[in-house]
Amino acid sequence: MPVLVQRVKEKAEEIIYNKLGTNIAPGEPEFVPSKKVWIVPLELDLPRVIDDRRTGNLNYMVFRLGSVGTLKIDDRFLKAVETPKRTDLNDAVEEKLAHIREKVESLLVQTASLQFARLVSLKHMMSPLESLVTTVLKRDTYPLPDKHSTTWRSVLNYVELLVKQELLVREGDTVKPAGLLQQIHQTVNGDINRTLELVLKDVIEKEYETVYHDYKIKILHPYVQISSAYYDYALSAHDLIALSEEDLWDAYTNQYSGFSKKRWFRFDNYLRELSDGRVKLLNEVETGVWEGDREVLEKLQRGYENFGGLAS
Amino acid sequence: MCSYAVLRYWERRGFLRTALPSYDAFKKTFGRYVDLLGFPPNKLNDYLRDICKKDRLKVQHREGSIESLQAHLRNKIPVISLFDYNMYQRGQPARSTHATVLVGYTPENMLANDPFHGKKYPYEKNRFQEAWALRNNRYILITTKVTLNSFPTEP
Repeated sequence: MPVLVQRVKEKAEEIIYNKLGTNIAPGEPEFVPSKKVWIVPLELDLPRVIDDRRTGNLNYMVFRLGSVGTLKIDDRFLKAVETPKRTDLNDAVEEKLAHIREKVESLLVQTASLQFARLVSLKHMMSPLESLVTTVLKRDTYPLPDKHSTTWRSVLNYVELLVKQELLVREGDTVKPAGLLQQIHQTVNGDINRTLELVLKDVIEKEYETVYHDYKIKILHPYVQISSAYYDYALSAHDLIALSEEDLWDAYTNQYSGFSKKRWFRFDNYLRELSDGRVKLLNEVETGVWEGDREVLEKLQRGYENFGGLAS
Repeated sequence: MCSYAVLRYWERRGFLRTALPSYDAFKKTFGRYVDLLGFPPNKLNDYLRDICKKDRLKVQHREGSIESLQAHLRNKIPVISLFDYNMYQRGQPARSTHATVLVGYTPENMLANDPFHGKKYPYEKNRFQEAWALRNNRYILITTKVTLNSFPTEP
């Protein structure tokens, strides 16, 4: 490394030590001749320690978040001419973490859509959709209700969604089961409950955002968040770790903006549903110790590598 | 957390006139960015001055050798060492720096009250030296005026 570059890096290290924080280090400085300054990327590794109750090991890993800001150092006197504020660096880190979190959530929704479709609470919330599918399969046609009626608005929303999914087809003022829906129904030998699960699976997989944002059905969100918090840790540990209930709660609340009494009140029930025999996204391997599902983790790992998993 | 552990150490030995706040209250003075960015070590003096108003704390940033660390420990002065924990545990350098409070040593290990591992965690000396060298063998001493009169700080 040329001497000057080394001195620029040392200067950047000094500024970081004096003003910025211990998780940051300088990247490779780049000289800008026109301005006679060195631009030094500020790179951040976020350490994370996971207490694996299964092996008794503390797993340490760092999230390599890359550059979160830059320092400008004058070429002549090696003085800082521009130092970012800690608040800006913190915002950049939060943004990167939110991006990773969204990716993990999205991967999980894709990977475990069938398990989510089996959640009792979700089925309850989406009962208009279930009624609609049951009726069209039984009667082969369903006359659309008056679109101006508030009572029927949610049914019409679901009609729209299922038409978009090519599960229903519109014919004038009626809807009929489309080929895809009939095919699904036949695949499960006409079992209506399994058909409904597969329809819900399809909706979750392809239209999770629409259901959440447009239809305001947010019931699935905490289940996705809790399991995502677990699998985020498992992905960074590259292993099916076992987390204590407290650690799982901490992971959930740390990743999703803090403690709330309402969340805490519902947490046990969320875990109960996520560990239900037909869902099994989390399993209570001993009292108060939670482990994920190997198959889900392996699928997630493949997807995670594809978007460039960051932990090492 | 390390600086709190050192202050508690001095408090227990009667060298601190300030009653320390709870750890949560102490942590708040470091601001909300500490969780993601870590803290800037050179600001430690400012933070601690606010907390220990009745004491004249002395925060020293030094570079040294294992021998100098051991000399401080023989003088019963805990040392906050800064090193690359990822290098220590996994042999891969990382950008983040770990701080631990060294409280003793054996021929093979440096003993630390560590934020991750708890009390008297043994850091194997050779690996520790390698990881410490990546942070320029830096360490921090936090002492009080009373301490300085009781123990020599120079190794």
